[in-house]
Amino acid sequence: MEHWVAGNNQPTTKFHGFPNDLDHKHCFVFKHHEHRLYGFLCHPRPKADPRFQLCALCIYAAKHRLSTDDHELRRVEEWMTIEGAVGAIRGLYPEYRGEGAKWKM
Amino acid sequence: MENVSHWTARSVDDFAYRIASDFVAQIETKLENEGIDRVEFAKAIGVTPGRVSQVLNTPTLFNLRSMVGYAQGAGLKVAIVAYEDNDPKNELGPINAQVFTSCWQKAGRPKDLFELSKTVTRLVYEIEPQSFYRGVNVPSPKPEFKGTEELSIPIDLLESTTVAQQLLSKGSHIATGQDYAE
Repeated sequence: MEHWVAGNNQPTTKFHGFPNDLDHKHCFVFKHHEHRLYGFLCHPRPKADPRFQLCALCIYAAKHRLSTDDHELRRVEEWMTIEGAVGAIRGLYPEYRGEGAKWKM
Repeated sequence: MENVSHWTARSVDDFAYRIASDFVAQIETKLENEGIDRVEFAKAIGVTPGRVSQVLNTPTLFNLRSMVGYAQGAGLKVAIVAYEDNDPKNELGPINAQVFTSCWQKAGRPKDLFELSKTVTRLVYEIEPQSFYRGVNVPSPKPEFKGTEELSIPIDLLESTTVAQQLLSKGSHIATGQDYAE
């Protein structure tokens, strides 16, 4: 996880996003053995620091097969939009209004 | 505010685990980028694929010798770098290995300190509306890199002059030869 925080985008054996999956393009997963921590990526400081990226971890799953369970990613997408999650992030980063929110300048 | 140490400050073993994990990430990134699968890699270093998975999933199994072997199998070399980062209590944790690698690559991959001093001496000052070369005004509104050594400025000269600091304080860009290399 620290490897990602330090700015690395590889190896995908340890973490990766789903940029080619339009339905889950914000989803992200950290992997360790069979353990999976799923979350979503967001930019909680869009005005002050638009390059700042946060990964909000939502769910844990133990995975025993090769393909990612779409069910987990759908749950992450749900987490991404619920007010509780958005509010929790906004508690730390007041600028945050949720991914895709339009900003009034 | 209370200072909180990084988790790797708990013990030498924790710190060792972290840097061994860093090493694994470098090996896996290389294998991923080169499209080498673990079976092929295992064959190259003379162990079973199961052993490769075991070691890469458990970084503490590494010792210095196996690190060198795994790195060589992936077409890499290993350096042991001791550094000082003004963080004696380890509140911030170790510097990521990729930072050292990227800095070395940006410096032109010098093989020794002599090459290092060569690679950092080629500099072009850019400032608007005037350009500076060796601290002298150049009428050109926008300097262009000529690709010759005439643009080299010895690093000791750079350090001894205040021109660089003045330019930087004005928000100017100081480009290295590497910026123009490709």
